[in-house]
Amino acid sequence: MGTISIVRDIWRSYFFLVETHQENLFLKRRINHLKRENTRYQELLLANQRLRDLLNFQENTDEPVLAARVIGWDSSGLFKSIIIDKGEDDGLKVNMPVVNSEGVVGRVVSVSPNYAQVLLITDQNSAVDGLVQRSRGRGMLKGNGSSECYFDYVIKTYDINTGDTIVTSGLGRIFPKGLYLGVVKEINDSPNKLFKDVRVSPAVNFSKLEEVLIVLRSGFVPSGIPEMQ
Amino acid sequence: MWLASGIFVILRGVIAHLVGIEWVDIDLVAIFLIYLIAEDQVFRAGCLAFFMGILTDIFAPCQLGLFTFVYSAILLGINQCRGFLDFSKIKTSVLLAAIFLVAKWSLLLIIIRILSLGQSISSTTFILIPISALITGMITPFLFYFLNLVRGKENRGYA
Repeated sequence: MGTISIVRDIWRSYFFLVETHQENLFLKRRINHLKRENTRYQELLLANQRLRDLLNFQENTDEPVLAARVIGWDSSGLFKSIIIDKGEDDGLKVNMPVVNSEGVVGRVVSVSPNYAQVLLITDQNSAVDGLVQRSRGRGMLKGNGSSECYFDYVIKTYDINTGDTIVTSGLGRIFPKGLYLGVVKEINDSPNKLFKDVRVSPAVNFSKLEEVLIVLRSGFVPSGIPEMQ
Repeated sequence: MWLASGIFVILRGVIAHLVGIEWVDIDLVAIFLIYLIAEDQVFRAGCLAFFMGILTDIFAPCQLGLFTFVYSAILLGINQCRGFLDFSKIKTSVLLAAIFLVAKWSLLLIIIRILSLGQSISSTTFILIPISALITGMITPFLFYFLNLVRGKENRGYA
């Protein structure tokens, strides 16, 4: 009886199931491979969508633009900046505007042969001249180091409401006119202050920033001359 | 330690962005420096402060030398106070790491304010500095323990 059961076990677990076991291993490997491939395709699909948005923006602007990938974020903890994979060799210069399909990202503050640093509009050192799209009221969009910006120097007589769109004014010779900066989130009109306190939500979702466009403007301000604030 | 510090400085922005903790400044370099000071390796600490400062300057949109100066100046200050500090207690190291963070931010904000007249500082910064100092201080004992393990040393009082 013992011999028969051993023979039967060997037959069932080896001769009979050896192919099933091998097939099982093969299929498991195949599933893992397909999972990896699927993830890659999902990534490509999302990248395709983002690049398509950038391409739409590129087609709607007269200025020559260059696409770049975000390869790093500020490592000091003090500034709001990104590092992109294009540099001097690709024609980048200091103070060139950086945008994406959502709106203004920032401007180039330093360039190396193969990479460049971009100061985001949310940085405290950033200031962009802007205007309210609806009423054409002027102001200065300044970063406050968080995910929001302030729209400073808005005169009390200016017509500005919550939800208004802020666009670049074209003054300052850095950003082209009419680029989307953000939406007015909150207005505080204190009688003790000369200007209105306006908080703005930037158009760009900086937490999901992966690709950007650098506007290769010929009329950029040279690095030696500070931007007027 | 050099490799870990270098990797930390280069990748901290990316990691903080991925994890979503960009608002807090957890500075492992400060802990490494305190560790070296506690180990009485002042020269190594000085070199580490200098080169990690330069590395941070390279990857930040600021004047080259800003972080180098800040790290070196604070280290010099701590080294001057060595006589009054008892490094055999972990509390000293925790406190020093937290003070290092506060001193770093204070110096940076003072320099930035002096260099660019009228530069406004967000009120949230003043809330985030103590939080960053607290978190860095809390990490200190664990990092000291890990460093001792890596260096094959017996964990003494301060670590």
